[in-house]
Amino acid sequence: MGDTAGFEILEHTADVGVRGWGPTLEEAFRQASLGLLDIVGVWHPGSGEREVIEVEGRDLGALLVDWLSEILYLQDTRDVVVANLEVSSVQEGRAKGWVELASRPVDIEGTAVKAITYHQLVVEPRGESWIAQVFLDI
Amino acid sequence: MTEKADGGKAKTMQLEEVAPFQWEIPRGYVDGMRVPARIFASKRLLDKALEDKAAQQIANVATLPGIVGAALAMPDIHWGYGFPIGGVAATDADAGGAVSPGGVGFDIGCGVRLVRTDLTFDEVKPRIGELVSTLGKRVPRGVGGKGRMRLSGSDVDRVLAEGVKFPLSKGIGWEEDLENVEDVGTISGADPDRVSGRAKERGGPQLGSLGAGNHFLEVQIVDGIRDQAAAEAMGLFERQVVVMIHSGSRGLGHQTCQEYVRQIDRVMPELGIQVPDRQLGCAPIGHKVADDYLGAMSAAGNYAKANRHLLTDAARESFMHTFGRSAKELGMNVIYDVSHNLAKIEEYEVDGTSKRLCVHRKGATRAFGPGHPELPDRYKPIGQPVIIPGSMGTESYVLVGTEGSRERSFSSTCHGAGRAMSRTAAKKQMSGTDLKKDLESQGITLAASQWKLLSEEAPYAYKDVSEVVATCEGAGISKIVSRLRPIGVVKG
Repeated sequence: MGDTAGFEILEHTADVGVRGWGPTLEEAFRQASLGLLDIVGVWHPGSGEREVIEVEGRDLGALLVDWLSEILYLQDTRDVVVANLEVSSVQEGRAKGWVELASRPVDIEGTAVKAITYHQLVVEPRGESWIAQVFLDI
Repeated sequence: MTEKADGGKAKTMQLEEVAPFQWEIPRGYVDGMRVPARIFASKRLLDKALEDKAAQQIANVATLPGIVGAALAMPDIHWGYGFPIGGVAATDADAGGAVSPGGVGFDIGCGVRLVRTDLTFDEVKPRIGELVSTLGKRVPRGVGGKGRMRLSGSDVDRVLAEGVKFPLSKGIGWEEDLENVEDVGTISGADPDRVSGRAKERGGPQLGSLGAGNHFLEVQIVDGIRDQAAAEAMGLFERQVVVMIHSGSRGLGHQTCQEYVRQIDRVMPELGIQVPDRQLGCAPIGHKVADDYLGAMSAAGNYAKANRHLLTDAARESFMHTFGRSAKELGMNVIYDVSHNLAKIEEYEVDGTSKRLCVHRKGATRAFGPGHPELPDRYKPIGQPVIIPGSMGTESYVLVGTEGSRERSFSSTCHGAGRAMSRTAAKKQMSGTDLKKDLESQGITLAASQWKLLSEEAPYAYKDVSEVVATCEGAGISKIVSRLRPIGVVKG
């Protein structure tokens, strides 16, 4: 965790985890999202059509699960890649932001993710940063 | 960082072998355990289960409200999320017992179908390349793959309500397939209205597709029969070619589980239920959200059965195309189709009284013994066929349920090999193309959608399936009928 923001993939026997971190809660959420998109193979930076995302949940963990589920649902049903991503605010039981979606090339390289789990879910400040950790069902 | 309750192995696990191949974790190991936890395993498989968090997870399951007997883990137990894979939990449906969507898993109704043929290895061997390539073209697969069946309007609701009967009504498949599918092709209590529009949107276009991950369609040969009478009842003979299909409910089931885990997570504080891992979230049967979930889960289970039915159609077509004879002439009957991710209400004797239990099987297969009223007549003398898919390139097995499984494991047995290595570690060990060469040198022809990721599912990333099934037999929860060996693999 040398950089001020980033993500890492966590080992799990059957599935896989993602830990995002950043100086703000929003950046930690964004990094966890990038981790998810990297695993699925649908992070293709560029421009696309903007889709607003807003979720609510009873705590930060639930917000992270819902936020990532929303991204997973969008890319799966629209058959798209994510070209850009912004988490504008995570507060008072609500996370807001947007993704930009672009058409999917014929072949993408990635691992299909079925869902986002609550297992070993951690969203908390650590030192100067925030971390957002989640395990995915493969 | 403060890890969750299951985040470490702080306590040393004290396990006693209470019966052959049964190891017990006593109450008290995890706070709030209502019953003990029991792992079916050989010493070697047990040691493997203790390496990661799987054993801890089955102890966590023992805290579920209304759980009876013991929280059980099958020999292929491995680390999951909430429940371990290979976990079985039975809760009292009439006395506050809970249902937990995490105890079924995201791939609701995932399971296996075995289809026989009259062909022998010698007849298929010279055409295997052509056969696998035809299957590769006709079996939609991979990330977000669109399925073989285009559904319009209310069709998706009919699939959810009717299961296999919907494609049958459209002339896909054979009438006689039905009796060889668990629940005669339709899970009762399915409520399509409890499945969200989003789940239907995500899964609707995917009906009749394999998916990715560990799902596969394999051409296999019968390689060693242990129980001749049972093999004959199933129409199996030595060196015969069969087709195994391993797939589930695709995005529809994943989205359904995701939404119900969320709904239940939201009501947990007001229900006053505490669980050691948030993914074990549950609600008592009879509560609206629990009953809604059961209706939705059964509907997704029906989708999974219909999905495997459509993949069977692709297999029949491919054989017909390759061998120039109809699927009927080739004797391509369904041997059995059974799920390994479901919760079902079943009756068991508990402390001398008959009770309705909600039996969660998460990576575990129902295994009714001989004479069970729900079995088709031809399987009543031998017990329910249990299909155990191996990992890619390794052997698979056909088992049957035993009388003893009712008492020992709520009529449950293993579901596969069980992972032993993370995906990252598996990819590091060998590249996908090297693995392909390796499998080809063993006489296995492959069609995959992504070669690079092939080694995530390499045989060495899994436990030894032969040891898993031998342990089930040793523990008396199922019996080996036959071993199967792959000659052609179609991967997602």
